[in-house]
Amino acid sequence: MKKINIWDNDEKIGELFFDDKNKIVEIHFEKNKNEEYVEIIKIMVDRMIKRGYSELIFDEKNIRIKNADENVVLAIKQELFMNLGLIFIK
Amino acid sequence: METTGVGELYSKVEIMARSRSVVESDIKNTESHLDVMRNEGNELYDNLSESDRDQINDSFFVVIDNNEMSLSEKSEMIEKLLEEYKDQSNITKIVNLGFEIYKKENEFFSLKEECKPYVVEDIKIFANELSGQINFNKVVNYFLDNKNDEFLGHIVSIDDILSLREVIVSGDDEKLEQNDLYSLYSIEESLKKIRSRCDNHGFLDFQEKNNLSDGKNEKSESISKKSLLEKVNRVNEKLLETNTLHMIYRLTNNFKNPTMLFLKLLDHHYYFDSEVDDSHYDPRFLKAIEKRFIEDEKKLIESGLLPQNDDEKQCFIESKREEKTLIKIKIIGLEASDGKKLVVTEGIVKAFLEGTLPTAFLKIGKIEVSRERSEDDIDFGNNEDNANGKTKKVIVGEFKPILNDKGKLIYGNITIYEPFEMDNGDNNEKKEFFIRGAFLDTLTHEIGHGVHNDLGVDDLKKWENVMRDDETEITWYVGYAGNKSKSTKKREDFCESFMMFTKDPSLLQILSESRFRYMKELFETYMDSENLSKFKVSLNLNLLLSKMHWERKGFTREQIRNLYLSKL
Repeated sequence: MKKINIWDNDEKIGELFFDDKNKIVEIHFEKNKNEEYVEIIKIMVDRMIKRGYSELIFDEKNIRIKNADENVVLAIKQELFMNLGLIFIK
Repeated sequence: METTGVGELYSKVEIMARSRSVVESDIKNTESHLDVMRNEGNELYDNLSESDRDQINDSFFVVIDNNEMSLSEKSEMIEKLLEEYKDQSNITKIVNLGFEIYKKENEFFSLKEECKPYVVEDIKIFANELSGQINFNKVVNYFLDNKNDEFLGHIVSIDDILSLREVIVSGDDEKLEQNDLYSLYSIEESLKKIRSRCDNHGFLDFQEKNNLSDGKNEKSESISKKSLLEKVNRVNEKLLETNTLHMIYRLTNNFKNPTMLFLKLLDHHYYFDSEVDDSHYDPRFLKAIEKRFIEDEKKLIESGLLPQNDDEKQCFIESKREEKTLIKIKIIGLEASDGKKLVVTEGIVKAFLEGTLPTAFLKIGKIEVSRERSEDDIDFGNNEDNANGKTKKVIVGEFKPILNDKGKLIYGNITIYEPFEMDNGDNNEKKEFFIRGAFLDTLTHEIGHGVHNDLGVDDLKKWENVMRDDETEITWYVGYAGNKSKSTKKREDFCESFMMFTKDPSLLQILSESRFRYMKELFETYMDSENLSKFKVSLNLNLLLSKMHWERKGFTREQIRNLYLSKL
């Protein structure tokens, strides 16, 4: 299981976990950020599915993405960096 | 037919005295006679026992097939064999018949050799006359005006013309005579077919008769030929390069440049780098091609498909600046459903396009926004991205180019399948920002396809160099596209770079300096003159603010690059 912190400016807003064996990405937002970001993640994953990663399955309740690999993690990092300025730091 | 000394001389005189029809009549009769004899021989051979066949194969056929023995020596040997097998009538019968067949075949061969000079002479006369009658202007124009590259094979093929030129221009009688009689008949027949096809298509000009051999050795013609071939070679290289770029970048593979296809055929046969004198071109054929080359080259330059000189390029850019296409763009489907509010409005889209992109990049007929992609709009296996033809392709946007008959973009229609609305009570600003950003990213990406489609050869070549020198995958989607094909990756790399330059030029600069410079130059080249200085100021300000932002956070360019590109 690999973990990476998610930063919005100077504030840590959550963590991304990647289970390489089970091919699962899980994002845990801080409680006060969860509601704000979960729908964005949903829209983002939906875009990724449409653009090619059709095998991805999004579990909205747990903000969990199944069938993911390290390229999917890279895509998440880049999408959130470009669109919301979020930074991922180990 | 065996002749020696005075007899041989007499025989030759006799041969020359006979007409082609008489010799051909003898050939026909001899051939018929041989057929009867061979049938009888085969029947006898089939009825032999295995041991008898072995005896004949080891004796008679060894003698007959011995090329070092003369006919009289073979005759002596056959006599001895007949004496040896005198008690075996089945064998002696077939040996006698076999030897008669052998002698008749020799006679047949001699008759064919006797006939060849007549046929060679007739071919030369026929070919010379036909060559004088073919109007190559009409042939070349007919070919180039038709886009079906197969058609020439049905009328008058390059091979036909080559055969004709081999016969007439080479003037090499020996080469023609190296063919056996039946090959000569085939050449003769082929020439007759050429004449018939040319006649049917109006390619024959009975008033114009040139003796091509007369001018063959003139120095001026040789110089002219060389000059023409150099021109052919030069234009050919340009067209091949253009076509290669087309195959990579155009969104359709239907575009075929007829001139290029024609040149490829010619190139295959003549090898432009070979000695001019070996090319066997008909001067009229070359002139006809040159005429069309000049016309076609002019058209291609005019339509922006071939590189232009600086003056022409400047005019081209100026004319683009005058175009005001933005107002023509229709935006369809940006309507909120019940209980929803628009996050992306028509006004936002138009303001974005007007404020961000050069007008020359907006060759767009309509922008249609759709929540779902209908089954009718889904291609199954019609492009390389969906090569297996089985999977339903879901996308966020698409660009459908409308091309003219030269493959040049007239305009494109864009469809966006991105979210564009939110619930009325939803005040999540980040979500709104994300939705709007994703929508405009997709729109810019698709416009990028149109811009890419419309680039001239010089710009495409520069882009090739950028990708060659820096293989950075600036977004995950470029890497994903690379799994499909190299061409797909190249197209998507352009569109993603185009999109990122409009969205976050500083990030593009950090990730790939060469891509940033390319886009900057492209935008500055095509930016409307009244907006150029504004664009430059805006870009510099954006870069400066971004630099300050990252410096304040303590990140170097290299660290940002690593944060963005590194995998876990």
